[in-house]
Amino acid sequence: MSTLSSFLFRRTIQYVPRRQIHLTKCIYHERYFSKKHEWVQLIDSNKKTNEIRIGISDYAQRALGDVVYCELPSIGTKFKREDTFATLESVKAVSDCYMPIDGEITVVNEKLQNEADLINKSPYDNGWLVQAVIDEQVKKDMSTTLMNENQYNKFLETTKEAADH
Amino acid sequence: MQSILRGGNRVLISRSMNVYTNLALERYLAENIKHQPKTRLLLLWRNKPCVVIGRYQNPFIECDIKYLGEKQIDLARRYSGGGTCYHDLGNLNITVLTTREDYNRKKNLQWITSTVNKAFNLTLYVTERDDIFLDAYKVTGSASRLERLYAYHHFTLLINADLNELRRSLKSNDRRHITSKATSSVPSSVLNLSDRNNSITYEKTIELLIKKFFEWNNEKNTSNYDYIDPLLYYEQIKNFENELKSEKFLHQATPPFVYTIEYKKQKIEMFVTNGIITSIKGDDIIIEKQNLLGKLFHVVYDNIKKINTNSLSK
Repeated sequence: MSTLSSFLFRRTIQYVPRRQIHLTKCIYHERYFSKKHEWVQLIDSNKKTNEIRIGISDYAQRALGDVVYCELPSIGTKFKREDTFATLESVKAVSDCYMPIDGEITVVNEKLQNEADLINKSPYDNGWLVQAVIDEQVKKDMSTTLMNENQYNKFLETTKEAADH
Repeated sequence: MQSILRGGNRVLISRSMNVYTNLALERYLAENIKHQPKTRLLLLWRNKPCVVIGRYQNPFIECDIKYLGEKQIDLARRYSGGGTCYHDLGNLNITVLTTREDYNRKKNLQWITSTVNKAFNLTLYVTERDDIFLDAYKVTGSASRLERLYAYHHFTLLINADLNELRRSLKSNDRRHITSKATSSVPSSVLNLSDRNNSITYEKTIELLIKKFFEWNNEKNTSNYDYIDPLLYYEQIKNFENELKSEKFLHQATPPFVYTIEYKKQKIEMFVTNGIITSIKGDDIIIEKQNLLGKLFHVVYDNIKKINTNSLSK
């Protein structure tokens, strides 16, 4: 989402229930964050299953520096929360990405194969890492096991400054 | 004897000169030590001649695989990122292992440069790429691995290595044949510290670093260093060591690439994923294709080179 539409979106949802907002044909859900700086967002590509998209936050991509290579999992792999599901190489450092919640991988972002730096340029949009299906209970627990954007921003303020690379 | 996995500011010096053993030891310590915040573990190690590539590199691009085989120079892929380096007994490897939060490459490199500069009267400096240079020459390359609970930053230090062997080993004839997104090395001219100050030796450097390490960490317990024989911990490290030695990790962990050759003036492209030739594009040379499709690239590499050579000689 562009900055302007994010801003308008946030303004609008102040006054409506937080569950769903219809914007043309897309359904945007709130983004949730883990302490390890991954984000999770419900997407509604198929209403029968609960599918989410996972990526890393802007804070994380800045701390990493330019991503030069991205190793993504195979479709169908099941991960538990905090399992390593992807590995990124940036400026000579190899770092793991951890599943924010339990899920089974359904789609991986193929664009990252040739443009790993999409993660830096667009961490919340084109730089998403994987999509996964999650079960109903996990979906319900998201708001308690993870932080919403406000909570995450507060968390960032209290986190120590990222070490320089 | 105190546990090898205790936390705190410590120095460990490995007695092994085997690159696979040392890399396995490093990972074992990283994953199992009870890391304490604001403390560091310094691991000092060196290897007999070997070439070490970064986690997402392509060995065919980075070194002369054939030459390595002839000279029995080991080839290893490490778990951290970065480029390729050549090790021998004149090169010191230094690992700084900390909690994830305490990871700080610049601090580690600044410590080394100021310590070595003072003791040996040199003018080392840290570059933007987190290398250490002496004038226009590189003496240190670094790489890191960051995990959930720990992080390590390791780097080389050329004290007295065989630079001719280094150059020869890292010379690849396959660079122009390969297209890929693998991490590429940034080559630099290198220099040994002993070339500028011939009193510098491996032993002296180790002594210096052990002493200065405790000062750096304001650590009163200055005898908290041990020589470690990884063989004594074989059971604990063997899984990592076997992985590091395995064909799978060495060759099949290479990012996808395309190997292009010319045969009878036609271009042939081989697509390699997970180390396996998955498809071949180009003029139909049936026999060759059957022999190569589905095979492990590094196993049929010699045959591929022959095709290229035969074509050139016609």
